[in-house]
Amino acid sequence: MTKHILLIEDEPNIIEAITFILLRKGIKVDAHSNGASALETVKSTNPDAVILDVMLPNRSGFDILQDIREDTDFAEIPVMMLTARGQTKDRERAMELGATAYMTKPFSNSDVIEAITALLEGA
Amino acid sequence: MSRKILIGTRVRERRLLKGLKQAELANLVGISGSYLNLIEHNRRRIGGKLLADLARTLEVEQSLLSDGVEAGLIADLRDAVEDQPANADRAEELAGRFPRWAKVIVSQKARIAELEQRVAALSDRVSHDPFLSESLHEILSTVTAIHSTASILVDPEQMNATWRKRFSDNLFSDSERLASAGKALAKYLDSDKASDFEAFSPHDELDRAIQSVGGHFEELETGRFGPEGVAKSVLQSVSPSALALGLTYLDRYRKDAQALPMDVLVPLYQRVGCNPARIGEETGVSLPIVLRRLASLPADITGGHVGVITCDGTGTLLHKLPPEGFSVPRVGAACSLWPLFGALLQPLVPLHRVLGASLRAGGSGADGTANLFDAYTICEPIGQPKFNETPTYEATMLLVRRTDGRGVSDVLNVGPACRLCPVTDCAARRERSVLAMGFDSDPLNRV
Repeated sequence: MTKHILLIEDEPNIIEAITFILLRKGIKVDAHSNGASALETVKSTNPDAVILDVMLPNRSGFDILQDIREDTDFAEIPVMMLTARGQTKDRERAMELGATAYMTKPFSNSDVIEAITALLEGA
Repeated sequence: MSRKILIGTRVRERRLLKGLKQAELANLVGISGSYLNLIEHNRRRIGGKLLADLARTLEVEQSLLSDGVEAGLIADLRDAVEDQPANADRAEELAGRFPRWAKVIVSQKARIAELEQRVAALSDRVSHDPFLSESLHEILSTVTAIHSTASILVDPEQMNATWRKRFSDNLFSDSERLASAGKALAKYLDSDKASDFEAFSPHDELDRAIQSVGGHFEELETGRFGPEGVAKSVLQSVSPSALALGLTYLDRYRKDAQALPMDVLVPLYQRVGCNPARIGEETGVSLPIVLRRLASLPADITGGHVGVITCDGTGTLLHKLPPEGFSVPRVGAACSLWPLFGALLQPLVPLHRVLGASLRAGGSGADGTANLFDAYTICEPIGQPKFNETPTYEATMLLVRRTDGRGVSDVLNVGPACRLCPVTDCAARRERSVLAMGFDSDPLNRV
């Protein structure tokens, strides 16, 4: 069965590149680029896993992660956080809020594929 | 206690440190053991040749035995080696035998501590400066996009021409964006370095002085000092122009404090929150004063989430004292979408908007939380109205950072200034951005 990822990221070219490489691996990708209505998109697309950027317009990725974890339907969904900053406090905060994995920009395509495969296998 | 009395004690300490028996030392300086015993118990006074012989034999300066080592130096030396307890025990010995070297160690330790503080301050600044944080995010995100796109293009796997063209275009636009963001960052860092040493204007000087006390002048609050007294301590190193502005600022601060004292404002703030309208209603104090008073609350009460920006009738920024996360241009005009400027068109009409403030309009702040601010703004005439004279106006914008972005729907996205804002479809844009539109890119592609 085709696996399905929701990518919440505001850089259009990152969305395009990740979508392309995951599609090649047979993984369907939906993209959402605004923090404001992210939880609604999670609910409507019902993905197998979420890739979530920390810095987003209108709402931070941390707040969105908190919303996802507070929703009983998605409390267990695998979520990988993306950020441009690899500071320890950010990693700790993401993990405290229930992130499954954490990836720091810049990353390579193989990093993404490897991490998403692991995320989906654990789902 | 007699200075001489302590000599014996010091002789005894030095002898024990050298591991000599009383009889051995006595023999070395040519006196009896019982006489040395009396000296060491401060029951005989010594000086002259015997003191010199004892100092030479104990390998210390004579003054160390006669005057002792400065207690402060020993304490400083112990502090300097506090992370090495074994050495701390021998601080007195080192200070006694090599006082000048001991002073060098102490001064080096103080210098290291000073440099560590500077490094910490710079590191903290990098973490919390919204421009640096946003620029870093911009650059790393663009690098990620370039890296991913380039990897796809070099992949030997088949790709149709449409996709190849699309990724090539993406690569080109991202590389331009990266170059622009890098230039903008370098430019900012250069100007920033210079501004560490000089302020751009008297208002900048004054703002720095106000920020140094967190916008709160306790002596004016308590009435302990007047504006001149406060100026002597807080504004002692500013230029005459900044001092003149400062005295006016402090005089108004004092009057505002009398109209709405902290012992009234703080309980109200704690009860109703940062709600200017409610505070104005309950106290009968005018809104401009309420806004300024809320901005002068101590940071330990507001959590540092409150700041204020003012401008005159021409839109020129006067005081730039924003809360953390709200970027303000160092020079030049600010984003014309700020309600501060809208208020100039509607004097005495209070305005409230929720602002999404970021280099990426409405983006997240330096610590990853949503960068939303409640902006309470009002424009008021300055001074008493005079017959047949057009009043001059000043607008005040109180900014209160929202710690939670939930439930906010009507957000006005603003930037610091056009040159630092990447939003392309903004009707208020007056010049090109150095971030997203290409610092050097030419609209006509002229070579």
